[in-house]
Amino acid sequence: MIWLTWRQFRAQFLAAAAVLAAATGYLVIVGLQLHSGFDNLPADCDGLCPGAGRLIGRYRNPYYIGSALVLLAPALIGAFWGAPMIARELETGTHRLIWNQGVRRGRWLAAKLLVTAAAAMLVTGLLSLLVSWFADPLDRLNQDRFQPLMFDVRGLVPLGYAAFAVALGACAGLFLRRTTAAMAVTLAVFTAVQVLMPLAVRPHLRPAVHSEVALNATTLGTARMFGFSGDTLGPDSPMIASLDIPDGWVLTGNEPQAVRHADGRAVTFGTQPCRAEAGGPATRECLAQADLHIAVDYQPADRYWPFQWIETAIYLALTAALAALTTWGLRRRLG
Amino acid sequence: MTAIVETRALTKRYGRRTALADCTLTVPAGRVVGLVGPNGAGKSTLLQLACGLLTPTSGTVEVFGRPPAADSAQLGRVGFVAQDTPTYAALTIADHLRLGAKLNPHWDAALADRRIRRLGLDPSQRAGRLSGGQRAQLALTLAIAKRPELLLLDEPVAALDPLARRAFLQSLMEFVAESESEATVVLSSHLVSDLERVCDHLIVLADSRVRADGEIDDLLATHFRLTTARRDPDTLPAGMRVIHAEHTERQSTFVVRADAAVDDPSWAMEPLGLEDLVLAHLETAADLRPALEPQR
Repeated sequence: MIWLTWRQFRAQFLAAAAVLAAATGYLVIVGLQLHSGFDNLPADCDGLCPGAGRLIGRYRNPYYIGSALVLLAPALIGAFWGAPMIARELETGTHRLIWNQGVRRGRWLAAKLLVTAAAAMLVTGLLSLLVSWFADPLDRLNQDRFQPLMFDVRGLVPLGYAAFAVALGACAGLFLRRTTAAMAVTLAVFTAVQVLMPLAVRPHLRPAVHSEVALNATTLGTARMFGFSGDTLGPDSPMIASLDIPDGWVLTGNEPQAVRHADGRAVTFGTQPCRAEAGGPATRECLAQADLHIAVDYQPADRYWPFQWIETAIYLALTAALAALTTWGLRRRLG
Repeated sequence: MTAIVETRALTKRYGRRTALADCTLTVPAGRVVGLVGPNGAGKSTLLQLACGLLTPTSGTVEVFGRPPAADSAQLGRVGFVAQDTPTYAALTIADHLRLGAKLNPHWDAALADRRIRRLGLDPSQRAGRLSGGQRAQLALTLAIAKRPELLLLDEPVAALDPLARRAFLQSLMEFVAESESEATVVLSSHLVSDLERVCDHLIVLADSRVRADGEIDDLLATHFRLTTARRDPDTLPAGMRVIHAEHTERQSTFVVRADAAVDDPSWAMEPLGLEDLVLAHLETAADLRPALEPQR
């Protein structure tokens, strides 16, 4: 059964292996340059020194290409490996040939799913490993690996996505009985799950940490946004800011929060400390001394790997559930 | 006569469409059984139920006294050639044989190789490039190299030209002749002439019901065409069962079932060809169909 699965699957797998080999060649060559460039940065460069900005800018394209590959690989694998697995047999009628050999349908499916999922995880895993290595210097400078899109394309989770996509494709193929329809549904459902996960599930894997972060030179320097809210600037306009936690994931990230004094009073344009002479903007140096705070909900950086493991486990559990549903459907629905 | 396939009130519905209704029949051991009926009679459904590709909506079907496709041993005892003889277009003939060898416990590699050689096929050729007749032969090779005790063929020659059709039936007969333990074969077709050549037992199926069932010789010996001046079928002697009646203004033609021909000056009674025999049963089935049911 494994031989047959491999024989039918060989061409697709070799195509993927070719893409992987090309990506490896490209990213290794560019990556070695990137790594040596990173090693040449001053030791105290924390991502803000000019050399870091140049490095990030110069390797932006391969960085995006690599990340896009890891992002797309599971979806494409689900559509091109998973969806045809059963649908193609049903379309060409070959299920009536193969299910009358001396092997039960359940074993046939198990072999197909295991071989395909293993290949999918191997390809995606190698790709993720490669891209994680390549992008490591940039991830260290950007300190954003916990951000939703970055989290999806590094580390362990792509393996879970790949296995899930294969099972999803097989299941869709069984119930839709058409390869193209199964491919479309696989892509749609997979994308929906991938969007839903960071929005609705991942933030709650562990209760977020709530903390009052002091605005100092570092946090002000990396603030994503800092200013006053309101359509017109008046004495009552509140001062707002949104911060990034290095390597952490700020859940309130896109909504700027009110800046408060140590005693909890909101800072407004009229009451801001360090009012500059002649209405000019207050200097950051002065504000950093003023003991201002901002409330932040976030997942701290040290939860990155626990989150990777938990999310991978969730996807593998979904994979198992889909495989069970497909096995059941193969016995019932085609009856 | 032991039954190889036995169905009781076998019914298969797809949603609201009934493919096979309340079908009860037995397939005797060691025979080559022709399953004949019009399109939509449920032949294909019946065969797929017998090999376990489909599961019944209600009723039972048993093969060798057990549910079909119950385990891999059961699967190994039944060969099935599906309608349109599907094969993997991207795989070569050799791949197909290897597939059969890997998946079947009683695979007869020598037989498979011999057949492919005799057919003059190149083992390295992809199945997708074979002609319809060659593809059917490949599918048949796969099914018989399993050394099945029951071989089911679902309209295997329907799509073939006359030459390929004859070659295929020839191969099938070789299998029957060569099989050491008496294999049972069920072959469905809507063409009686195909079945007449290879079968020794016939089951006529129409609207899921068995209309006639028996050894072909027996069927031929007991069916007659009776031509007479116009008369009521009820006036025929007892012992004659009227299968089908046709009347013109002055003349009546009956197809009757009787143990033997009866000589009577008022009629002509002659034996019936198999094709006419089957047609008589099918026409009767069509006449009996409730008027409200849409004709298929």
